[in-house]
Parts: sequence; structure tokens; C-alpha cells
Amino acid sequence: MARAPTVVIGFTGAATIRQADDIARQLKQALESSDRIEVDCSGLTEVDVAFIQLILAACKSAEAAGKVLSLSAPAGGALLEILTICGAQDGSRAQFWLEGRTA
Amino acid sequence: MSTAIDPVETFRAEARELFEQLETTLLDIEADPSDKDLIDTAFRALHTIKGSGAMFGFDAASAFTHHVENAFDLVRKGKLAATKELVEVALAAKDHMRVLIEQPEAAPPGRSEALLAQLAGIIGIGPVVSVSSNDAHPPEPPPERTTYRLHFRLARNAMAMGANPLLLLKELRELGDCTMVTDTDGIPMLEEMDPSGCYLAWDGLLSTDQPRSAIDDVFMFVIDDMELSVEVVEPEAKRLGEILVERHAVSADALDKALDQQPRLGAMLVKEGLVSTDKVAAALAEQKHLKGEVEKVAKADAADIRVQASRLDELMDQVGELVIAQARLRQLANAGNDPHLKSLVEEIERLSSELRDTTMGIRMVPIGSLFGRFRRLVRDLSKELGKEIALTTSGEETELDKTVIERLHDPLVHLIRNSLDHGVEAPDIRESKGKPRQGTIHLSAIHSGAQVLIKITDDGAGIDPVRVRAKAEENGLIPPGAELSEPEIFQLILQPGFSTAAKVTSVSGRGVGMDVVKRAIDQLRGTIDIDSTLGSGSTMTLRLPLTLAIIDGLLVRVGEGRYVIPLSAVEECVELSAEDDRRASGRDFLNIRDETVPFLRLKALFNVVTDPEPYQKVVIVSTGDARVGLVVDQIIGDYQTVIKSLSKIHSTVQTFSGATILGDGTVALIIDVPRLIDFGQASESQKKAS
Repeated sequence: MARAPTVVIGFTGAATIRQADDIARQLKQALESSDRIEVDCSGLTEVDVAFIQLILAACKSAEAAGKVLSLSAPAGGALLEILTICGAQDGSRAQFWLEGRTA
Repeated sequence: MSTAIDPVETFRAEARELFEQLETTLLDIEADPSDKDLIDTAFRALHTIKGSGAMFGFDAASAFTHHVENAFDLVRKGKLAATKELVEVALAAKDHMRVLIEQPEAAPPGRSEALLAQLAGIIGIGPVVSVSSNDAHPPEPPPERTTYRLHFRLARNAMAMGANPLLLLKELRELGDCTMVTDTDGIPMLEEMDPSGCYLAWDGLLSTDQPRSAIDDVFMFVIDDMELSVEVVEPEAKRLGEILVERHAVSADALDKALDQQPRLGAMLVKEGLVSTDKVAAALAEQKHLKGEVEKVAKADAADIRVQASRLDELMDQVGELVIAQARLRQLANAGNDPHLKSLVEEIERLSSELRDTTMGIRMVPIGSLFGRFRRLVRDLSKELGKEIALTTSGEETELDKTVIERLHDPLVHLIRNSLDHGVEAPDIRESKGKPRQGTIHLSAIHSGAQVLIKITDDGAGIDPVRVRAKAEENGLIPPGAELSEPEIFQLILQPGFSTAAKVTSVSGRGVGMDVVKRAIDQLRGTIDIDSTLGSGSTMTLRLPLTLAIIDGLLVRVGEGRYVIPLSAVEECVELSAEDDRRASGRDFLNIRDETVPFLRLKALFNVVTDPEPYQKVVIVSTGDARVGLVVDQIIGDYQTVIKSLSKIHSTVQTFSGATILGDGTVALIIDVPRLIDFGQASESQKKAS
């Protein structure tokens, strides 16, 4: 089977609980369409816990399916701020957030 | 049996202990102001007094204590030095607190304010807010910085309902140092996820000086259906494994298993050549030791229980009855011929004697608690008298019956005061005599058989036998020119109406003499020996029985009656042969190993009119230096017995210290040996005179 190209999904503006359903659908689609998914968070201006949960859930699904989900760049800006408040930087996914990929 | 315990009384009893502890600690601080542990102990004691005082409605005491506590908080934080002045005020404040708690109505008005003004002067801030009983509640104490371990998980629908975990986390961070870590274990697969559900959980530590309630306030609006656990952790460096187990992240068993598979840190370090095996062994030993200490402390904390003294007395009384009943049972069994009954009686005998020993043991208290109380006395009095005196103690762990210890307090205070006032000289005089300026009073306690010896030794001027003699002659206590040995002369001090102090001070010499001490010690069935070397000091030795409740005695028979002679006084028993008896008539002296020993015929003394028996025995007893024989008809054997005091009607009977009930239900009187001898000698000389 030919290797599908990396799918990049970019989020811009707000990624909060209000957009949660939408984001979940986009992530699901990306996971179905490819083995390699890259999430671009650089355009985000507002993030909350719901978004972080969705990305973490997507990682879990990807791993379960033997796929790779990574960030196109280490977390910064609004995302990093929220990660810091959450304490996610010290958590088990720290490497993912700060280096953009899973171990 | 009264079982209702007044909580206020319980508080008072606890407070009393705290005050004692506080006093000791303050005195220790005076000696070593730099000891941080002592400061902490004092602070904690004050804190507890304040806290429980408020709880039991002692608002005035609590409010007053609050200010003293604050002062020690400053000391603790290094903002105030533990000067002698501070200790002085704190001691006075402690006395005042005690009054406020023991007898609030007796507290002198204005005393609180005066002490607080003094305290404020030392702290160096303006006058402290005045305190009156109307002051409802002291401001809440600044809570100590505490570290909490937090774990929380919001309800699944919390975010959908508008809650924002980020805000909660921010609020937690505002409370103090907060390290929170996301717990992502709850995150499901994307496909199974409700995008607006809350799956993350957080755990971590919060170190804050805010009260626990502040944490609850943070979660106030989301508390429904959420998981929240808050526990206090001791802020100490823990090993990873311990933390994992504490957080229930891994079971202790699993951890042990994992650790077993992993080479020990020590072994790893040794292998790498970073540290020697010995060093590791030493470190491991230290670790083990510290762990043991911690466990010990925990054990000691758990092993205490507070019991009313009256209940112990009741128990002792009942055990006494049991011992008597058991003796009667034994007599009954011995009279019969039933081997089963006999073996059962032996069993009961063993049990009841063990029970008696255990009960006695409960009543035993180390004498250290008593000695501790004298430190303040010596400190304050030597200051008042302008002397420099150190009190040293030894044998604090020696145990004595609680009642004996309580009744020893006053006589000991008197003896120590005497040593301070008459014994130890003023510093200048000491220096001119080539002694160190600082005098010493040493208190010691030591077991000696069934007795305890308590010695009060000073290195002062000693007692001048010539002066004592002159004074005794002047007071008509002895005829002029009477021949007396030195110990006999010293014993004169104990006579009523004797005082060598030319000057009356507030400390002693107020006419309440050593005779009071002697009477108190006599009542405890004890004796006082005085030894002194002029110029280099004196020693008072108190000999006391371990307990007042039980006596080891020798059971004897005189005519029909039976008597108990305290075994501690008995030296030996000899037979009074018919020949001796005849020869001795009129002189009543016995020759024992070339030593003449006078003897008393108890039969004559007690006016027993039965026929003389052929084989009389002499029990040689000693009191101090005198040995006296007591002639009895039969020696039955040694007998441990519970003392029953005589009724008020018999309180004038001096020759017996009590009575006991024998196995057959009859009563035996317990002979008070020194008094009996005095009585015997008096009646002998009367006989001779007539």
C-alpha cells in the first residue's frame, strides 16, 4: 500500500470548547485519511482545556492505530501559556508538546 | 464509681502539664538561648494553651497567651532575641496564665495588662492591645505553612456547564507555591470522546500559609460530582517510590518487587567506584536509625492514656481486698484435703500477686516530674537572695508511688529552701573561702531495696554542731552538757521549735521549722538522716518506702494477738533461751555477738496476760543507729500485706501505723517501729523511776 502523504491540519484563531465538536471532526477525518498527521497550532490565539484534551485524544487514537501525530512546531504563544497553567509541560506528554512529536 | 469526666477539668489537667513543660523549656532557654528546638517547644506549648483555652471558654487566658505566643513566634523567626528579660516575663506570664485557667476569678485585675506592657517593652513595639475578659476571641493565629497533596478531577459535564479548569488552577496558584501536573490517564480515544467533556485530572502539591478552607473555596462552585482529595504532607524529601505508593499510583508490593530487581543505589555507587562500601554501610545505618526513632516517637504517642488518680486508688483498694480474700481462701484450702482446690488456689495466688504488682506499677511515677518543679524555685530564690546557685539532679527516672511523690513536694521545698538560705553562702563569701562563686545543690534519687533514698546535697557552709548544741540547750531541748554524738546533735534540728537562723528572711526562719518536714516524712513512713561537714556542705537523706499501700512485714504472735513488723526494719531473729530470759530479767539486755542489745517485752508492753511461753523469740529491729530486740511469742513468717489505715478513733494510737486483715479474717496491727521503741523506752524509764 502506497504511503499516504502527511496531512497537515492547521487551527487558527480560537480553539475552545465552543469549537470542540468542529475540531474533533477535523481530527477524526485527518486520522482516517492518513498515517501521518501534522497539527499546526501556530495560528491559535485562544486555547482552552477542551482543545488540549482533543489533541491528546487524537494522539492516543493515532498511537493505537500505529499512526503518527505530531505538532508542526513546538507549542508556543497561547497554547504554551495554557499548557503551562495546566501543568501539561511536566506531564507525561511534555515531549510531545515541547518538541512537537511523541517519543 | 464516678465515670463522668468534666471536660474542663481534663483541659485543666492537660494545661497543668503544658505549664510544667513550658516552665522547664523556658528555664532551658535561659541556659541556652540559641537552641531552636527549645524555642519551638515553648511556642508550641503556648499555641496549644491558647487554642484549647479558647475552645473551653477561657477567653481571657487565651487572649493573653496569644500575645506571649506572638513574642515567641518572633523569636522563632529570628526577629527577637531570647533574652533573659524575655524569659523572665514569660515565666511570670506563665504563672499568670495558670491563674487565669485554674481560678480565673482570683486573677489580680490589671495583671494581664502589666505583663503585656512589659512584654511589649521587650519586643520594642507600642503597647499591646489591652486584654479583658470581654475580648471575645483572639484573632485567628497565623496558620503555619502547610503542604497539601491535591488531586482533583472535575465532573464530566463540568466544562459544558461553564466551569473552566484553567481558572481553578490559576486560583490555586494564587494561594501559594503550587505544582500541578495534568493526569492524562482519563483521556479516551478520539472516537469515544465527547469533545466538550472534561477528561483531564490534576494532581500536585500546594504549599500555602492559607488555611485548608481556602482550598475548598476554590472548588466551591464545581464541588458537585467532582473528585477532590486534599491531604497534608510533611515537607521532606521523599524517595520516588514512597511518593508513588503514597499517591496510590503503585502498590507497595509492586514497588518492593521492582526494587528487588533493580540493583541498590549503594551497590551501584560502589560498583562505579564513587563511594566506599563502608560509607554506604554507615549511611544505611543512619537511615535505619532515623526510621527507628520516628517509629519510636509514634509508639510513645500512641501508648499514653489518661486515667483519674481516684480510679487507680479504687483499683488498688480492690486488689487489696482480693489479696486478703485470696489469703483466706488459701487457709481454707490448706485446712481441707482437696488437691484440685489446692492447685486452683495456687493459680489464683499467682494471678493475684501479679495483679497486685501490675497495679502497683501503674501508680509508680518517675520522680523527675517532682525534681523539675524545683528548678524554678532555686532560680527565683537564689536571685532574691543574691546568690548564685545551680541545681543539679540525678536519678530522675527513679519511680515512686504517686501519693508519696505528691506528699514529698512540700518537705522537699522546705529542705531546698533551707539549703539555699542557710547552706550555700553568698558569692563573695564563697570566693573568700576559696570555693567557686556558684554554689551547687544536688538532688538525687536512688532505689535501695524496698526503699528510695532521696538526697539533697549542698556545697555550702555546713551545719555547725557547736551552734546547734548551744541553741538546743538554750531552748531547753537537751540538758546542758548532755553527751551526744554528732548525728544525734544534727537530729536536734528536726525538733519542734528549733531554728538556728538569726535572721528571718522570706525564705526560711519563720518558725515553721524542720519539725514540719520531719512530721511529713514520718507520715510517709520515712526517715531523715543529716550529715554535714562544717565548711564544705551538708547532705539530707530521706529514706522512703516505695509505696504506702503495701508493706512487706514479718508476722508475729504475742499472746493471742498477731502483729506485723515492717520487714525493712527487721535485722535478724534469735531465740530467747530460758536462761537468757532469767538472766536478763531486770536488765533486759541481750548479748548478740559480743554486742549488747536492749530488748522490749511486747507482752508486757501490750499488757497481754497469758501464761509465759517456753520458747520466746527476739526480733532484732533497727531504727537509724539503734538496734532493739522485740520479744514475741512466735514468729509466723513473712507476710506481704495491704495496709488499712486505722479509724479516727484510733488516731491517737501512735505505736501502730495501720492494720491488716489476715487470712482467717482477724485483724493484725502493724507496728510502727520507731514509735514503739520510743514508747517502750519511755515506759521503761517510768518503771525505773517508780
